[in-house]
Amino acid sequence: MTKQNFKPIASSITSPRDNRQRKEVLVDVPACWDEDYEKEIYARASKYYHKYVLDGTEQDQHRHIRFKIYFQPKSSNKVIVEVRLRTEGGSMTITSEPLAMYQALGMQEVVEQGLDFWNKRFNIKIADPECKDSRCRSKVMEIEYRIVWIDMPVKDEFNDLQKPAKPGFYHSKMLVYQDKERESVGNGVLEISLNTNTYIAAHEYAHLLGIPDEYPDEDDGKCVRYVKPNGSMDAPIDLLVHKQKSSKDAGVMSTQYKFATAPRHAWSIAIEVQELLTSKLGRPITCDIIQLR
Amino acid sequence: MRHHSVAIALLLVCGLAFAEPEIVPVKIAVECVANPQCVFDGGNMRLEFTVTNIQAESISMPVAYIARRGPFIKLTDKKTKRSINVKTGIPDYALRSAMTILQPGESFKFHWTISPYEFEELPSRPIDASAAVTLIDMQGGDDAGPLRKYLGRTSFQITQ
Repeated sequence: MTKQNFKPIASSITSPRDNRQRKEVLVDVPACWDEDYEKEIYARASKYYHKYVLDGTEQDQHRHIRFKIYFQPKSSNKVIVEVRLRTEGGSMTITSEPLAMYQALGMQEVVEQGLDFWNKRFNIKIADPECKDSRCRSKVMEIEYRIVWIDMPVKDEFNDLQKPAKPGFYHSKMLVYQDKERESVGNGVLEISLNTNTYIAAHEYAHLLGIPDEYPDEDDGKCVRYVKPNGSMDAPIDLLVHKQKSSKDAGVMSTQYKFATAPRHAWSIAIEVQELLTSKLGRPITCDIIQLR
Repeated sequence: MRHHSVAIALLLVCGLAFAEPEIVPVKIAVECVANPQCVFDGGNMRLEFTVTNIQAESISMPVAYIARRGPFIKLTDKKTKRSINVKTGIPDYALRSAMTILQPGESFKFHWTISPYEFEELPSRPIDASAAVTLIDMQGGDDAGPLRKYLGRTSFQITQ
C-alpha cells in the first residue's frame, strides 16, 4: 500500500455521510520513537568541548572518544551508556614484567564502583516537537552508565582506534600498573594503578565519555567551554585557578574528593542521543539533561 | 630576590582576570631514569625531577602535593612544531597541608612518567621532540599573605 493511501493525521473528514460510507480511514501518524536504537560513538573531543589558551586561540583537541549508546524506550525506558574495556597489566618499562593479571583484574571492581557515582545522577529529557502523537512529544529517561569487560581482540592491530569500535571489541584498554604517579586517559587507553581509588575511577570514566578536566592541567592559562546539546557554547570554565574543595565551582572534574556535578557532565550523551534520534526518525529531536542529585 | 611579574591580558574568550603574584624562582632539573640520553623506546619514559631552593632564605613547598600533581610538560615535535601537553594529575588539596621547609640550596626529588600513548600523539617518526618543563606552585593570597608564584623551568630533548 502506498503512502498516497494515507491521509495526514487530523485532516480526515468525519461528517456523518462520510462515516456511513467509509469502512476504514488510513491515517498517516508520524512514527513514534518506540523502537530501541543503538550506536557506536566515535568522535573528536572537540565535538563536546573546546579548550582555549591565554592568547584566546583554541587548542586542538585531537583525542578521539569511543563508547556506545543504547536508546531503549521499548525494552528498558533507559539510555544506556556503555564503555567496553579490556584489562591488561602494565609494564613500567619495556623490559620489566607486566603486573600480574589477577592483580589487574582486581581493579575492575574499583572502576565499577566509580560507576555508582554516575548512575542515578542524570535523566535525559527528549522532545519531539513535530510529533503529533502526544505519547512521544516529550519523554524523560534515566541514563545508565555501564562497563563491559571483554577480552577481544588479543592483538591491538585488529582494533582500529581511528574508527568506531566493532561489535565485541573494546573501546579502550585499561592498563593497570603496580604504581604510577597519575591516572590518565588517552586515545584508546585508560591508565590506572593499584592505588587508584573510587573517586579517581569515577573521574577517569568521565574522560572516556568526552568530559574534560576542569583544573589547571597545562601551564598556559586557558578555559574550557562545553558544547550544549543545542549546539551553542556554554559559559567558560575557569582553568587558571585551582578550585579548593570549599569552592562553589569545585566538582568531580576539578578537585579530588569533590563529588559535585552539573548537567554539562552528561551533555555528550545528550548530543549523541539527539543525533541518533534525529537521524533515525528524520525530524529534529532535542535533548537536555536533568540532574537528579 | 624580587621579580616583577608580567601582567596577563584580560581574555575576551574566557573573560577572566588573573592577580599579579610575586615570582619566586626555584631551580628544577630533570633526568631520564636509567636513560641518560632520554631515548623513547616505545614504553613509559620515567623522569626524575630535582627542585632546589635558590633563594637566600628558606622557602616552604608542598612536596607531596607537587609529587602527586606533577609538573607541566609540553612536548613539541621538532619537525612539525605540533605540541601536546602531558597531563598533570588531579590536585589533592589535602596534601597541601604538609609543607616542607627548604633551606637555601636544599632540594627535594620526585618522579613522573610520560606514557607511550602521549608520544603517539606526536606526528613525526622516529620521535624527535623537545620537552619544556614548568613547575608552578601558587601560595598565599587573600588572608594567607602575599600571593607568590614559585616558578621553575627546564627543558630536555627526546629522541627515538
